[in-house]
Amino acid sequence: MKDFWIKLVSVLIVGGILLNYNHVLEARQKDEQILELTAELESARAHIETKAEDQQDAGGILLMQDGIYEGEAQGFGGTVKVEVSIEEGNIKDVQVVEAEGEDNAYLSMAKDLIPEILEAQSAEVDLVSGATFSSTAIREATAQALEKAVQSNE
Amino acid sequence: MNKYDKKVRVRLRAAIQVICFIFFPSVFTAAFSGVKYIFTRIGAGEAVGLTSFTSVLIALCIYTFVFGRFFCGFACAFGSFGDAVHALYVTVCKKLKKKPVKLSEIWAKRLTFLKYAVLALIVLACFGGVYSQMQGISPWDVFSMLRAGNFALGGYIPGLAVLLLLLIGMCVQERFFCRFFCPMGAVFSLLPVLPLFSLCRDRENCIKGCSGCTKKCPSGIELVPQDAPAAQGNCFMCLKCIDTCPKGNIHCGLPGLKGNELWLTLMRAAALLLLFLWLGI
Repeated sequence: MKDFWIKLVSVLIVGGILLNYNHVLEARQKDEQILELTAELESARAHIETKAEDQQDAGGILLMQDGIYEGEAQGFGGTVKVEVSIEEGNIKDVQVVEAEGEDNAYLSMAKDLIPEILEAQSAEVDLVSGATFSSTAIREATAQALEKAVQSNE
Repeated sequence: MNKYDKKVRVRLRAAIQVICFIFFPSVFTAAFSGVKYIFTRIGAGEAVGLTSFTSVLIALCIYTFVFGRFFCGFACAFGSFGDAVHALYVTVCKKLKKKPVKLSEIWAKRLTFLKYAVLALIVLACFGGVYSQMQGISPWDVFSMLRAGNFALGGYIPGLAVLLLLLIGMCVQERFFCRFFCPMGAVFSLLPVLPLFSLCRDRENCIKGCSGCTKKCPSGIELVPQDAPAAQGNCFMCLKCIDTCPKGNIHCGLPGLKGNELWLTLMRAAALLLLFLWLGI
């Protein structure tokens, strides 16, 4: 029984350390976010006019035709299909529509890639470590869909 | 001990193993990906989130805390694969009327600690952020790819070589990988296990010099007496010892139960199945 209690206490300590670690990081992140937002606000105030011009420029070079495009790539145990919706020339959404050969736990990790794609507005994002196969498939399928979107604009 | 009952128990275990192999083949890698994820994140100074990997890891750890390493013995795809390889080797040897080669218990005892080294190595590599450079070495990746019908093994030659070497080991020692190398098993063996399902024996009734249970045990465990029910971290819950004991001395911590009753096994399997479905594996 002594063995049991030693192990239990160790596990609780490990769990406690992890929770505390997360807590510290969260507090730190909040501080950083406040600093970042303040800086952003300042620069926004200073460059309202230049920003408006930039936006006009960006609007001028629409690369992708609006619509929904399919792309597919090889995943872990089969084909992964995605649908990319383009609205106003931007990547609005990426949906995984088929991934039968992928394991659920891995696929849901790999889907972390999608918000990154939306933020970067590009398929050139870092893979999800631990779910290399599935995230590679999502990345490549998205890239294929984006290519179609560019082509249909030409 | 009823011979017929024993046969049913052996078949039930095989059936549960086959079902889990077919429908839940990735649980062991997903759970261990949880361990890798935690240390990768800490190494990179990032927060540890409750992802699908960490949920599988936590759920399996809690399950093991209550039920013992039933997952290892009945549900792990890689463990079942090893059991199949070992059984095949022993059957072939019998057919050819040759004595199966067996790893000596002295060596087996020494090698048991290797799994902690494997775990430490992987955890350190994740923490140092160099694990992704080791891709292609893991025999689990190769095994999972082959199982999923993915034969694009180009960058996985080292892993394939390791897997082939393990196959030899699996022949000469039951649960060779689980006992000596499995990093997930190392995590499980460090967990506390409630003394409900863990096995113990009434030592005073034993036949002198028998040690039938220890010989039958894939982990070579010498069970402790009833009044000191230490949960054995290395027990895979294969439950073979209960049927092996000529005196029927082995039982679990639950009063009045042996621990290998069919309904008890089915209940543990059902609890695991519900856990898998709840996790959406």
